[in-house]
Amino acid sequence: MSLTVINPGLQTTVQGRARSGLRHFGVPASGPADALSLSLANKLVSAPADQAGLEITFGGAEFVFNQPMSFAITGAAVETKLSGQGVPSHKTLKANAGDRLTIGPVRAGCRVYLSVSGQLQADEFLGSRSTYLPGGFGGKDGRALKAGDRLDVSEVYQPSELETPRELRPYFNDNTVLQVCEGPDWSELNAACQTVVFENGFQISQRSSRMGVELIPEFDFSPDEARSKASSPVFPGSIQLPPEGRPFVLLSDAQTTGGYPHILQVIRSDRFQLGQLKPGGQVRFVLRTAQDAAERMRIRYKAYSEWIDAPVI
Amino acid sequence: MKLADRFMVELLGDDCIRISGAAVAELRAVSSNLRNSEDWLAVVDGIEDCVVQFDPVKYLPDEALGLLSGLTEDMLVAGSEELEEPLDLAVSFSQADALDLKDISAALSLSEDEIIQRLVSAELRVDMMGFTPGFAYMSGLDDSMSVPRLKTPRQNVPAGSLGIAGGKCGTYALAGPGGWSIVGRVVSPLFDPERENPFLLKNGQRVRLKRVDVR
Repeated sequence: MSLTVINPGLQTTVQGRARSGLRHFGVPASGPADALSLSLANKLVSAPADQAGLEITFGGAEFVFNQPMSFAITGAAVETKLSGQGVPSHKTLKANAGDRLTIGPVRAGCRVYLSVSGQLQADEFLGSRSTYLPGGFGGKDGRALKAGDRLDVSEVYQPSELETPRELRPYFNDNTVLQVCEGPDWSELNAACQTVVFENGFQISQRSSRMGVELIPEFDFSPDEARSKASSPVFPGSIQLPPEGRPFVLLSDAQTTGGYPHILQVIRSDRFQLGQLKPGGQVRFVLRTAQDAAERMRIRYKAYSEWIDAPVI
Repeated sequence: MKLADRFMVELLGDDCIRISGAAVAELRAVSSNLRNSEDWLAVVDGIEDCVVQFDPVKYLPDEALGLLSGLTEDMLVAGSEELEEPLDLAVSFSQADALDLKDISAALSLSEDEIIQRLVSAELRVDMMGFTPGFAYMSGLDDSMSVPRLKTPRQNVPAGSLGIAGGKCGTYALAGPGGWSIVGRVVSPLFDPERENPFLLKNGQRVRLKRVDVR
């Protein structure tokens, strides 16, 4: 069983479980930039939440199913057609042999997720099939998919036909509110800067990848030159402030340590949204305490775990 | 004595705790011991600190903070002795492996042999693993060996490459992009996915370089 890539769009990679347990050796997490959307797609094909699927950046991709299998689409808002017929996101769908899946350009959000009812065959490296492009490992030969690639799918099964409950469908509109906690270097910003960060919105620049997203415009920031910061651990969700003053939000493929001031940290329950930040979109920050943030995560986790077994958020 | 008496232990966001403010060797012992516990999602060392990530569904931030702060001093012992034993790394300085040795020699006005001599006589220590997967960032190089990063980073540095930049020395366990000047190649396998610890080097490890000739 397999599917063939006709057009991968700007960047399509295999993403599944995050790499864990090796971060102290410099191995990034990888995995889906929006883990919640992959969890939801996997649920619709009765797969574990972290099973490997395809992450399609900006949509605009096309595939052919070489054998019958079920699949599901989640993530950014797109129009999808199966051999010319419009099909919805957030629903278990069935493809026949030869069916062509056409995913339109994203209307809102940044990444579309495609899960199939079987094991997508991809390179397992350090405990995960997720692609890490800078290191060239995981996924399909450690690279983004190309037209003509055939992805083998083993152990194809018949999933139950499901639809994501409305209230659990994340809604992406390119005008994102990110809840944050203060980072360890927050106090390096003067009071005026601290105010500006929350009063002004930011725009997502074109400098955006699975490693991180740059925000503009830069703001006037004068770090204490005397204090050179030794590299310190950073994680997906960390927001660093390089000297040019454009905040840089780290995503799944982010390096494990960084030397720029770490000013803010996106709270755990909002991190899935980072994968949907599209260049040109707007971002606004709202400050939360750690306790409040953790309670929000618990509420979200509880809501999703009633639908998905061990959801990855 | 409790961890919080010896170190600064503070929340970082809603799912991390940063430990800092004591001798780095002690921090390394703590992080190595914390890694053996199943309570934490990740325990990552920085140059001067260590950050522990927890699952906020399992622990509320204050609970995790209390748990870590209250750990006792046995966290400080054990685990540090093996790091003190220097690990010998066999390095080839052949022309094919030492991609930038000639340029470094010109830039530092030192002969290639002098540069190699300073490398093999250095008492190195891994300050941090990171930057790229398996990259070991080491201090202990002679002050005379400071060079800036390459103006144009390489797209693909061969696995095992030994680089220098900014007065530090580093090894690339995996092939990948990199901007350090390459002065040799570590012949000892820095990475083996079959090993329990796939990466040979770790934070705090003492390292000596040994010259070998590879045909």
